[in-house]
Amino acid sequence: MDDKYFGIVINDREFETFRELIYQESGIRLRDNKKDLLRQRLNKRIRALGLGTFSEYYKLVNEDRSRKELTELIDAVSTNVTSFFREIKHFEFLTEKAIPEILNKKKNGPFEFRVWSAACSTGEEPYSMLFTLLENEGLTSKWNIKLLATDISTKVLQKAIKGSYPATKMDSLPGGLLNKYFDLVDDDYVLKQKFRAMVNFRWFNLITARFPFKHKFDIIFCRNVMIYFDKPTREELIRKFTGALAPGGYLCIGHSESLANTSHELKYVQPTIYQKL
Amino acid sequence: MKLEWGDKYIVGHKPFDNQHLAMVELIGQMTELAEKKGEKKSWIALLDELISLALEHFSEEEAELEKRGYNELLEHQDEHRNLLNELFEIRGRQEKEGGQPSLEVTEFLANWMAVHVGETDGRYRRLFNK
Repeated sequence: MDDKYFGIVINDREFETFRELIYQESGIRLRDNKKDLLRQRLNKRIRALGLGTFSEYYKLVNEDRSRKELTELIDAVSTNVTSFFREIKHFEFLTEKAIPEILNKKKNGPFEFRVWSAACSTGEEPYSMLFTLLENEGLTSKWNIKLLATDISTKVLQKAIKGSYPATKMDSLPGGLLNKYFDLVDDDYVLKQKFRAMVNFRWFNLITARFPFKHKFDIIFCRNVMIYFDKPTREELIRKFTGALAPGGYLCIGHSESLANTSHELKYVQPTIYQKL
Repeated sequence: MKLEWGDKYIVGHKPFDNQHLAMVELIGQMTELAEKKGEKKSWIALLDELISLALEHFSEEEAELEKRGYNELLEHQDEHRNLLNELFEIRGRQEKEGGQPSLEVTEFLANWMAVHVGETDGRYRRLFNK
């Protein structure tokens, strides 16, 4: 049966309360077209908990001190479409411009290259960054690559850590890289353990008031996240990214995003790429 | 940056391919205007033409993808809506500032088309190439 017609319904008032809660907790502004998505994705969960309405579920989420249910809720509404080398221009920019420039800037040390994938989803983005760094001849063995990958959804992080992808997801990966970095296990491509270990995955909420990082990043990717944030949340996030970047470091945002109408102190380099001065 | 139309932008649905091409050509005209090579049409008029093309194309594309049960429709719609919001914002800003052609705007649009049509739309190509 299609639960579009037989499931627990959500009325406009309930949708508003969930929309507000999700916004407060994650910064994500659900548009009206997400009402059906919210209803479909939470139906099973509500029934599994033995509840009958969205209002009851809302009460439970609010009363759950462990915040586990809130995590389930945010998992249900976050968007996770990604692929290897998505927005290829960013990776070309790393290879041709950003990496050589940063290596030159740090030629007298410290020999650390710090990169952050701030909304890493199921891992394709940070792994693509890793391959780009490892394939760069300038990054010799004396360099220590520090690659942080974070997301607000625990579900995607679980997948990302495994580094296992169906063959159909590997189309966008240049041929030589596939055999070099992955093992074919049954029908899936599994990233070799030593490469998986090079990425530090963490749960992280970007609307956290203060970023806890001790060291500054050379490159930050935060793509297709801000499209779900409103302007004040976006401006605040850009301010925090600016603080987290090393001078000369780069911020890459998604192709649908522009800082043209956002106040910030970064230098525009090319569409979706900004530099801290 | 000027967007060159090529095979990698073909999705295999003739009306959509034509609409994509029309949008790319329009952005090309805006780029020329911003580079001051052509002065035939005013910048705001071109921007309006792009907005109406985008509105028409996005709604047709979304309807077709919904009909075919495309599993990434919501994310696809998000990209569309976000571009429309950007376009409306750009238009509002440009009008206030006297409609000055801007290379930053055309570069943004060309990049958006390259990624959206070349990569995002590419994900539904299989629906039309059976």
